[in-house]
Amino acid sequence: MTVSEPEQNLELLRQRVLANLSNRTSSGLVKVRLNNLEMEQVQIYKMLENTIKFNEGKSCLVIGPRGSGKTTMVNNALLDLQERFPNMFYVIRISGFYQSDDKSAIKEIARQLDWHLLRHSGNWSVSFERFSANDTMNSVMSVLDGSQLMEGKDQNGDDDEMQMPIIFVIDELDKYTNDAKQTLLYNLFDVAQSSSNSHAVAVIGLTTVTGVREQLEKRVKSRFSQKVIQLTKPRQLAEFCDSVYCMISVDPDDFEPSMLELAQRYNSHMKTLLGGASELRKLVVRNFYTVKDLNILKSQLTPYIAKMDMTTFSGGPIPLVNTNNRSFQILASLSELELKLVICAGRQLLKNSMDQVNFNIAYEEFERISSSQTNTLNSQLQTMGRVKLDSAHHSRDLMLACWERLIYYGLLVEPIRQINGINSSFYTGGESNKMFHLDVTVEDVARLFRHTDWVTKWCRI
Amino acid sequence: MSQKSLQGWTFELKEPENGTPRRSRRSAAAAVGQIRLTRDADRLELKKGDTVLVSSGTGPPDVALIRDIDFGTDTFLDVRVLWFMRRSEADDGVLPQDSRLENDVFLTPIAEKIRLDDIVGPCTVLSASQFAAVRLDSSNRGSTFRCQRFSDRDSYFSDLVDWDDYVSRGTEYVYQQVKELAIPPRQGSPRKKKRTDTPTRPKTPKMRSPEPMVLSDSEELDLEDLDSAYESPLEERPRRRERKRKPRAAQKSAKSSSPSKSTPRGLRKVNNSVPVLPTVIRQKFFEDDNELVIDDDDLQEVVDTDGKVVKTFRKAKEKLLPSAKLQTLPCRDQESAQLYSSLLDAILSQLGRCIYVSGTPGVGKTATIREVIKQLFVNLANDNDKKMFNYLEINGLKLMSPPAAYEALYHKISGDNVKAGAALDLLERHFETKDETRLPLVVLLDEMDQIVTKNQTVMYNFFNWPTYENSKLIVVAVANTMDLPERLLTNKISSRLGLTRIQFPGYTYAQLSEIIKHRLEKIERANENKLVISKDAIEFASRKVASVSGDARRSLVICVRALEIAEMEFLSKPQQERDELQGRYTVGIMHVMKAVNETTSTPVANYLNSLSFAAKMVLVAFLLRRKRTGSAELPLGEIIDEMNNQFGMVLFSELKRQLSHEQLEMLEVLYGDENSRLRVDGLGYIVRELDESGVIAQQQLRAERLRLVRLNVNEDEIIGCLKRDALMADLIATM
Ligand SMILES: Nc1ncnc2c1ncn2[C@@H]1O[C@H](COP(=O)(O)OP(=O)(O)OP(=O)(O)O)[C@@H](O)[C@H]1O
Ligand SMILES: Nc1ncnc2c1ncn2[C@@H]1O[C@H](COP(=O)(O)OP(=O)(O)OP(=O)(O)O)[C@@H](O)[C@H]1O
Ligand SMILES: [Mg+2]
Ligand SMILES: [Mg+2]
Repeated sequence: MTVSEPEQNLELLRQRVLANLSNRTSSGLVKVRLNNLEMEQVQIYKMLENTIKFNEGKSCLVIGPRGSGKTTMVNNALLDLQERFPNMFYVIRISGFYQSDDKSAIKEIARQLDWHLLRHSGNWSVSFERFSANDTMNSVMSVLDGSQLMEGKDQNGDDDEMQMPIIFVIDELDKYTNDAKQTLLYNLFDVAQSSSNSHAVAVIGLTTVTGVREQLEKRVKSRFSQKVIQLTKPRQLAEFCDSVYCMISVDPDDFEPSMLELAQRYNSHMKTLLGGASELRKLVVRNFYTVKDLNILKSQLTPYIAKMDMTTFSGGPIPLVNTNNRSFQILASLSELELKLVICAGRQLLKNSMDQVNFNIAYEEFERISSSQTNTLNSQLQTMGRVKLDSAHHSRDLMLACWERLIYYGLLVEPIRQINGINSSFYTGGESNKMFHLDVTVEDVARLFRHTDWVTKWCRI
Repeated sequence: MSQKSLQGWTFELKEPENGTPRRSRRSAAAAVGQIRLTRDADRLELKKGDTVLVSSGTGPPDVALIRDIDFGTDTFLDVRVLWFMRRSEADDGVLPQDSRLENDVFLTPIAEKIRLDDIVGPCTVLSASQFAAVRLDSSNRGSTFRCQRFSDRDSYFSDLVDWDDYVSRGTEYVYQQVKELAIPPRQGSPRKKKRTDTPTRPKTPKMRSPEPMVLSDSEELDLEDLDSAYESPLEERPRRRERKRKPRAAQKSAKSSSPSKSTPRGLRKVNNSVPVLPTVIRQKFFEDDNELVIDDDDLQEVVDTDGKVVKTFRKAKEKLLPSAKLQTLPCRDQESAQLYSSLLDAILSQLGRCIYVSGTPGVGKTATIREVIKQLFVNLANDNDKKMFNYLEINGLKLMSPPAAYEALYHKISGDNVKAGAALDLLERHFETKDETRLPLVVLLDEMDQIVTKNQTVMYNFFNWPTYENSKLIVVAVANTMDLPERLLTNKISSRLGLTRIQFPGYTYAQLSEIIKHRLEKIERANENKLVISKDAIEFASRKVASVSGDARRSLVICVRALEIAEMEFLSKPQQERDELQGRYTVGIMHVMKAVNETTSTPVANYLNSLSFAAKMVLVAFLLRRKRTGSAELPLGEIIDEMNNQFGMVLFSELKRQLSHEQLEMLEVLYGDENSRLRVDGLGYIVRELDESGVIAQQQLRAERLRLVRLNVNEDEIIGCLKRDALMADLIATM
């Protein structure tokens, strides 16, 4: 702490750290250090290396929960390969989130093939992507599938012609198992397992579903190379802390010699923070026992680092992100009448042990309570010899408007009725008779507003 | 119009022809299908897309195109039309020279509801070419019109359009197009200008064939617009060509590993041939790398004897991969003989034939058939000195839709690309006609169960054509189940087809070992008869697979994996030990065992063990609650309550001890700073994660508390895993 660093060096360091915490880390443009995943990464690397060098087609599944580093790890392996075998293979990425069905996935594959081809040869005149899905499929399969027996083509001739190997990375692979045919997976796994001397294809599927292998159709399963790499979250707190350290530390080699010392000092400071009793450590421990998720931690640490005093590496308190229930936050913003209506609806549900409530029932309870309260108030006033108070009467229409707002906020939820397995809501009666689910209980309200007297009173049964 | 005003008309509802029932239920509009109205008085039939004369009060009746007939909101049936403008309504000054016939009409984008009473009668609107072929006389002069331009009903007329083409694409398309085309282009807007002249080069597939499709223009413009909005529209064409000529180098150097950044969209489609992926670069790579294995960085230290082991493993792996090229297929002699004779018989007798092959995945169906076909090619060519039959492979799972099978078949027969509907007609005709010179065609219809449609026409046709006298079509249909034809076709038809059936039973363990050994034979001979995989190991792998499925692929994959495991093991041994082995290393039963375990073990236990404390508590709360209520599905609200109760009651001494090291309170950790203690911090996230991993299934419902939750894994498995966790020990013990 003795040497004072130039301001811009400190800012540069901060920027590097923040960049590590951004979500860009999984975009596959730069390598990201990962803790404890070297073995898995090597496995993937080896598999793909075999594909590129020996035309060995393989398929492989990487299974792991969100934020366990699946994408990042595969990207790292691909970057390594790119370095070792520059321009000697194509990577095609599709994701079950973006290409939600087989058709659009095939289309996307064709598009990316076109893109590669264009980059490679500058040939604009031919393309894989066609007007119809069928033609697109045919054109894609015609280059991927080397197994088909075709007339006029000498099958046994062990020609030296070798086609560019293609590596498919399928994110959210489980989305493609929902379709009964699983056309996409069948075809990709099929071309992978039948990769020959002239065609080589490797497929890597990423998914969060642990039992995804059982979801594969039997033909697809038979074609799958049965290789599963599982990533899990760290089991031990120490290991988890290592991952966090890996995330917030910087690689000293990335810096100029003049900043080397600063980077090292930063790293060792972070290490002690994570090792000893500190706000940072507490945050990590909390995260470990509840969600155990690095992505949530990242977003919590970003403001912390952004505000950190870089000369002493001390940050203020770390803001907690409330990841809790949306309904509770809505409750806090309700008007008094709306809240009363929620309580009344909740009371009726509880008293009659129902699970649905309509406006009429809730309003009935509302009138009962409010009139009983006015009565007690009146009797108190009378004993004090004062004039009688008009009951604070709220029109039914006003309350119905409140009710409708509750529906709009989503506190009241329309039940889903299933008729022959299809969701439908056939309802023809009036608005005030329509039944709803209530997303909170009286107890929730009472606990959330335990410092507000009238709420406590209204909640008392 | 009320129901009453429907008097004198009857209507009839036609289900949409190809709409799936699911879709029609989703949207009310689609469910309506097509309504067909019939006038009782003169049996005049009206439906969407018809053209009619509508009384205009005074003067000649107006001409209208029925856009749709639908159940209305304020009337019973709505008939919406698009009006045509008659030539007489247009100003001579603006009327294009070529559209001044008395019977010229111009479609306008003006839509209106009409009353049924106003309908006078039917009329016909024709394209210029068809109109020319019609002779006008007094009977049809008032009801036959020519439409070759659209108009905005004022003074703008579009360029010439091909009315037939538009009509064939359905009314909705016409409406969309007329909306765009009948509007005068704004000055200076290149986009609009382009739009208006696209229809003169229609994009229809039908029109495409002579001149390959010209999609592009408007799309290309989309790209151009971005960077050159300021340039004059007149310069477009030359400039674009220039762009095409631009050297690719710039593009290549643009460093980006994500294809999503830029795309060659719109600059394409001039060529129908399938592009080929580059090959050159890899060849070069292999030339450089002649001694691949030794050259490899990672194996730099592995020389001589070690290199030999690695090489042997490499070769064995190559042989064992399912894709390896084989000279013969062992263990399928009987089936291939049967196939061979059936096919040979059919080819020589020049008759149609249908062979149905069934068997579970990976039992060698496709491989055997291909093998037999190859033999037939060779043998028949040797005997006769000429080609005796044609061959085509169609895979049901490599088609996006079943009817595409027709396209593929017709392409094979004629070399033309036609759409499925037309292909069906042409095929029908082709197989009916007698043609002495035609060669028999063998079609391998792989994964046939996937080309079944609702009414089975595709499958039926493929089974039916071979029965035609002149078809000379030989279909080899492959599927997984034996009784597929019976299940899908009515008995009458299936019995008439006279299928030759060949059933491929799953491989026994002896056969599987035979297959593996056969593949390794050569290598072992080359390897001085030293085993690559020990006999026991092969046997073990075969037994494991045969007991489950008899899937050859499976057993091969296991052996490959065992090889990989052994290779890793070998390379991780110290150098001295490796030297002692003298380049010999055999895959043993242990390696196979490991490989088998890898392919069968479920990762669930691992996943459960790595869950966070709170996530485990969700599962425990579920189990506890389920024990009490006995129902398999529980609302999330109950699980939440149960969790909160447990945190209030149970000691969790181990957790508290761990947290005391960190100077943290258990409840503070679990609930965060919020004092209401209603939900464990991030509960929604935790539950969603469990859902995404497939351990539980959560109902998709907005209300959190009411979502039903179900367990997707075995309860014992969960308890077994949680027992091992010290944090949960107190709790699990009570269960
Ligand atoms: N073992 C680890 N060591 C260090 N950082 C890690 C580790 N695992 C994950 N991370 C961090 O978590 C981030 C998210 O990882 P990534 O996006 O690859 O997860 P994912 O498994 O693909 O998740 P998703 O299922 O959401 O796609 C990474 O960028 C990295 O910063
Ligand atoms: N008798 C055999 N000898 C050698 N290899 C075999 C044999 N049978 C099957 N195989 C191997 O198993 C692979 C799968 O066989 P094949 O493609 O014929 O299966 P299939 O019965 O068509 O399965 P599916 O129903 O899934 O299409 C082949 O590529 C081949 O390598
Ligand atoms: Mg990911
Ligand atoms: Mg097959």
